[in-house]
Amino acid sequence: MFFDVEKKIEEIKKKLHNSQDVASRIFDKNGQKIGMIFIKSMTNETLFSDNIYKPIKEYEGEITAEKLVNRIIINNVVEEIKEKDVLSKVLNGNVVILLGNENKFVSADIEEFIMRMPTEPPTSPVIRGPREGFTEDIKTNITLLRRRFYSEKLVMKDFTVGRYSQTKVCVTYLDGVASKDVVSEIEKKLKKIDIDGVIDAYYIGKYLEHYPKSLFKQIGNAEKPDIVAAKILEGRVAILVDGSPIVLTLPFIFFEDMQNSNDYYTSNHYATYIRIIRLFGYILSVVASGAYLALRLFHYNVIPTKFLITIADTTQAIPFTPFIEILFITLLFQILYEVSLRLPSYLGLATSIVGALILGDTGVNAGLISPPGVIVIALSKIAVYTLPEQAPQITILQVLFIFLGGCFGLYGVVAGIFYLVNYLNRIDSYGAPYLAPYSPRVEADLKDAMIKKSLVEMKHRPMSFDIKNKTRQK
Amino acid sequence: MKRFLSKIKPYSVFLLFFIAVLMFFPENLSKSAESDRNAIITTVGVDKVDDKFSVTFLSFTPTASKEFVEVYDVVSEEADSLSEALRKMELSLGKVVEFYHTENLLIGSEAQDDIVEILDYFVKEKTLAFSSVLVGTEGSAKEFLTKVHEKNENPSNVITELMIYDSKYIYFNKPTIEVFFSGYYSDMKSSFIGTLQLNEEEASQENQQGGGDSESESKTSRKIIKNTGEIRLFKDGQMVYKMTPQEVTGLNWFQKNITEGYIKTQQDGKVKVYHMDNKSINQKVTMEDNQPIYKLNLVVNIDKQELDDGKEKHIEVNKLSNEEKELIKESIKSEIKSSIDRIVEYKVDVIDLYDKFYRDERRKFKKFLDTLQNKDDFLEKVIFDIQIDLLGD
Amino acid sequence: MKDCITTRQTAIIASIVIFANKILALPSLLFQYARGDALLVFLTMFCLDIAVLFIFFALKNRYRNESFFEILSHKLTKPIAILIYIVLLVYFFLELLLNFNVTGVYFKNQIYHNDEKLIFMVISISIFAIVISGGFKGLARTFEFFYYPIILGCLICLLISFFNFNEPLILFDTSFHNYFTACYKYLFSFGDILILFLIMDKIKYDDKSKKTILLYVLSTMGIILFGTFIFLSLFPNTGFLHSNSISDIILLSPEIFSIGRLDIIAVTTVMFLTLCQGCIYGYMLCDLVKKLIPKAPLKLSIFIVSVVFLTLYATVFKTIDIVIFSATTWGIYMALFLQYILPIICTIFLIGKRKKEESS
Repeated sequence: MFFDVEKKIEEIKKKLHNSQDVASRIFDKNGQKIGMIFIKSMTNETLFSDNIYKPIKEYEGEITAEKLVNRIIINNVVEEIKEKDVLSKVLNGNVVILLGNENKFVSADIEEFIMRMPTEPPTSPVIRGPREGFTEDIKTNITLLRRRFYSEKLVMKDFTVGRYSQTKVCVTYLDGVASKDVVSEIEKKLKKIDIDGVIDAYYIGKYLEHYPKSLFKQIGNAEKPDIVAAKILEGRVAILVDGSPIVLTLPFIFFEDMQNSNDYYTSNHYATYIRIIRLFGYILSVVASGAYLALRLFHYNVIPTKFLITIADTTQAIPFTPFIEILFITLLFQILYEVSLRLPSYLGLATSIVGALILGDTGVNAGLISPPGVIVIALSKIAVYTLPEQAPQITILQVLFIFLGGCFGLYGVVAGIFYLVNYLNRIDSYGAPYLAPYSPRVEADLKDAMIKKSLVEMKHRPMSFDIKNKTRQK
Repeated sequence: MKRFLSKIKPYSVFLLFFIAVLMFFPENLSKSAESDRNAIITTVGVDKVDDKFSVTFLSFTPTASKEFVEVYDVVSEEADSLSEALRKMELSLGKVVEFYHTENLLIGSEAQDDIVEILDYFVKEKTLAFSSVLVGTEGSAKEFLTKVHEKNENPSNVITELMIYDSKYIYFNKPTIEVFFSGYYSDMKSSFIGTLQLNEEEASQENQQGGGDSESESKTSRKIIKNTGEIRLFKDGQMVYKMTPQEVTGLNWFQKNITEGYIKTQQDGKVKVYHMDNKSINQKVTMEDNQPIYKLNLVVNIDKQELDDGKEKHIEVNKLSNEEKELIKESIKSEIKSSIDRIVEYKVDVIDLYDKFYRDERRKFKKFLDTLQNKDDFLEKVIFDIQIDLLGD
Repeated sequence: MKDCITTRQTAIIASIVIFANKILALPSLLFQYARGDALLVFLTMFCLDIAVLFIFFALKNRYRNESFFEILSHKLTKPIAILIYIVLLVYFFLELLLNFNVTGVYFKNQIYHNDEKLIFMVISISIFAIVISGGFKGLARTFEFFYYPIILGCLICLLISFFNFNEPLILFDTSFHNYFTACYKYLFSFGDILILFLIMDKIKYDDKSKKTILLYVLSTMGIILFGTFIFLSLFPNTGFLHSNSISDIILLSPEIFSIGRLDIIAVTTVMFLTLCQGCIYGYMLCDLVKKLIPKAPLKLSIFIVSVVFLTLYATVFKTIDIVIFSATTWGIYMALFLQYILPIICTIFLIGKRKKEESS
């Protein structure tokens, strides 16, 4: 029995809730009913009309599935499919041609939708080096990666995650370099994910982490193909997620965030210097506020006399106690930060002026906040962005250390650091110790940790995690 | 209960942190800064008046000023004991008294006999640092501080700077509490303290009326302090002698750190001053025939000369004649001799000769000491062999 | 082997426990007996420690996978092993109390000028409990992370003290009796190599381990000896006045004092050291409790140790004087037995085993 093309089209349209962007064509061709269904917003209509609809309509002979597969000339796949795959093909930007006389379905990929061009991501600017960035389209991202590996060793495995979103996920690695255990664990975890929809790579990342409730991320991320390519070359596995410009990489170690692509396109001495500055910035941002509060509340004797005199003078008229003052200034800065993120850019200038006036001038002159407090908090807030990847974690830690410093003094701050390091030492990311190569100490990896040696000296891939082929160059 | 425990188990660390913070949070939230609760004392002066201790503080008073003006107060209290006086001070200041920021400790002339007890109290019971500068004052420390405070915005800074200068260029050792104690607890029990005095003319001068400039000028004036370079020698905690600046200079010849100075000679009524811009010393101690011999070889670099004579013009070519060289050597030797005579007379070994002999010739020196009734007498037996070489044009 | 640590981590643990209180009160205490010869006291005791270290190497070489408890149980019967472990328990409690009290006094003198014993206790016990419950591997990695900053802190303190350095100390200044009394009285503060015996089953031992551990131990001893040398040279007559040696050697000069209290470097270094040492001793105690009560889970051991420690700290060993008195009286006998006689007994086991092997 041959199926009724019209009825079938109606059925499919009903399943798609008769959405207004679902288009169909039904026509008779030499006594043969042919139906076509596609989603206008996801397809290239010009390609459809010029390369599919018109040729079929103008063709004189009998239309069969085989002829369609061989004669439709488009860049993408044209194939015969089963009925159960019709819906997913239509939803993926294909046009499905129903052949009533054969009970067959042919799908042609004419997917096209509006997407962003690969521009330089705002979070990873470089002075020298590639400026391409990933986009929300997985195909574009795959292309960007492929262009960096003209080798058959680059493996790309596809997965679909999300009951409703059916998001495409692609696991990429170098065969013979990446650890098979890591790859299989990632694949297993991806298959286990049972979620309604995946909006961003972050969703996938959380499922891949061993300690998803931890404050600290255990999965790397990058927005640029050169960074991801470098990580793949080191033996990591990259996970691309459709709809997200962020590519995830595993395993991840803490010191990866200290590194920047700029470091690899410039002198290694300068890179070393900058990494030390970043580390210093990180420590400053986490500890400065808490330490300042501890000194003021418990250890005034440590402050040099001249500095103490300045602080005592300028804080004399402040109505708040030091603890309240620091919390207040921290809150103000955080509000200002949130406002500057959300405001449109043309209002941003007004915000900066208001913020600077309120905090920098009026508040101090009114005696609500003290200049040393403003300086310390401002410094620590600015220093957060030496490591923008760790900004959320640092912001939370700042508050925790303020409480530690304010309640327990310097010993509390030191104990906090001690516990933090111990906690990080207990985390591992797919076999890689989180604080490698410093604890446990991996001598070979120290060449590209805080100190960066020249590229010619880096003969081995990272030894901190399990990879097969450790030799990078001879 | 088990269910409750299993629910809170993943958050046990946060709970512990939360409980720990909660224990201390309310108290510390309302706690004012330590600099508000504790007095910031930059200089302490101790006097003894009629068997009573008088303690004077130079205390910084925060004024909430936007121009960062440092305002100090001079506060003084008297009591039978030091702890009583400090207690009274806390009552009058309304703050806890600690000495973490105290840079100077002034001991008035009357209190110098009890210097060891005073230092012992401040360092052990209170928190005065061993590196605090120890200064003796002519007369009362309270009067000294008060007058200096009238003329200077930041008097403790002035005193510290003067004493640091002295320790580098004038004294043969640092004038700190640690050095004093080190000498006191040594075998020879010899120590010294630097001395500052008031410039009587400046002290008696009234502040000029009107004219903002003159007022600010007097507020930063250092003329009020007379830094003569004198020191006081102590033997076993008792003051025995006040050394003149020239005698102090004589002792500096034994120190390699002090490499600059002036040498004055007089010939035929003419006074000539020579500048020493470098010196190196080579010290050696030996025991010969049970006799301690101290050999000092000085190599002095003479830089230029200055003529203190209205008639003679300044000589362009800085050549020293043999006669001049001999005069310079004699002058140096006489300076050294006068200083040595003092330390021998009062048995105050502030230049650590005992340590040098003990270090380099221990066995023989111990044998020599056994022959003496009192080991303090060893200085009398030391033979000083001083050789001077002059370099320079 | 579960929860194993690398050779390097072992060496670092040994290094950290060797520091103990030797950079705080000990130089001053030894000075009161032996003056300049306090350096010789350090040297002698360190030589003894090195000898014990070699005994450890031989023991570990022979018994690669067995724990110390198993060796003692096998050689001396289980009841005697339990008895020795009970003595070890008391020994480590006293070590921890000594550590707490000495550093507590140090912090009180240097930065917490009010008696903030409660803060010190709350933080320390909380940290120890959380950190120890995370496992020995995490602990060892943490020590590895902080090791170089601690060493750097110590070296910076020593370097700053060079500004004031004048003459080296005078050796052989006191009688042999004073020197021997100093060695004997403060025996408890040495012999830290004992720790290695107790964690021997957790160490990944290979041919290079001996060299690595020896290098770290000798370096630490070298730093301590150097620090003591500087201390005794800077304070040839007033050593007894300076019970916070690492801070006092920095703060001598008025110029440095006017820059600021640079001893904050020393204080921070000692804070990290205290936390590391406290964790090691705490872990030892929990491990000993576990050996004595095998069925007790780790968290219960931590709880028992914390409660007992807090009780002792708050009641019997309230002040530093009581702790030092205990360490210098009955503590000496305990130290003598555990630090020196026990290793000698181990040497006898080794000789016995070798003879057995030779005869078979």
